[in-house]
Amino acid sequence: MDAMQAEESKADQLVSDEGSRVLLKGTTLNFIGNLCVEPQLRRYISEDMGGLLTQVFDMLHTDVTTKPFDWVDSSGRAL
Amino acid sequence: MNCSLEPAAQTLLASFNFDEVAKIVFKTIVVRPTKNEEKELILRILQLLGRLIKVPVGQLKIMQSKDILLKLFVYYTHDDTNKSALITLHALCAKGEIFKKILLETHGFTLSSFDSFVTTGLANFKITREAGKWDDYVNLCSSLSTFIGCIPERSEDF
Repeated sequence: MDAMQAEESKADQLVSDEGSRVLLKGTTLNFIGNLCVEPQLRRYISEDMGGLLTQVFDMLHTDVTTKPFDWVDSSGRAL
Repeated sequence: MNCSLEPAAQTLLASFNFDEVAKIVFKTIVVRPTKNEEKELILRILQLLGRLIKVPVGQLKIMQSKDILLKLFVYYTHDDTNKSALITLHALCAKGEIFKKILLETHGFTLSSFDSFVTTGLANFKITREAGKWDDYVNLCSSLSTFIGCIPERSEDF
């Protein structure tokens, strides 16, 4: 019984962690997307200031090649 | 997508393996997706290709990929992706003889490979003229004449 409860708790934790990861990733990409609406900020990001554009592309590449469960949504946000 | 409007981002993104990303997405998602997220992703990839075609490195990578070229011709025939695919195809057809050589000799396309392009082009020509959509009509005439300039053997179809 204890083993079963421990297993369930572990699964809940995994789902919770994954949910937080997806939420953080989605909101970060949305935030960057919103920054791009402003012309000056878009220019900075386009010039890869802070390596931001490179990181967004890396994220897109990883999503497309490893295909986690949310990859379509996540790739769409990155693009 | 917003960034790819900027020449600096176009150069940077073209230097990445965007062609691999496009190929995987085109292979993974069915040609006629039903889910909105999948439709959106295809559309955005096509728009990205339309921006990166403006950079020589991007142009070269797109021309070298048979998978991408095939899918561009396929998506040209679908109403919702027609214009996005055409932006890239038009830029490629404008290369004329070079693009023709790559299609026919490097990738093994035949003249009949362009049947669906011709059919769709003719259908859209009729639709835009009858509906009086003159902006679309002008764009279409431009794209069709550029295509004929690239593949003159298909001029008889028009």
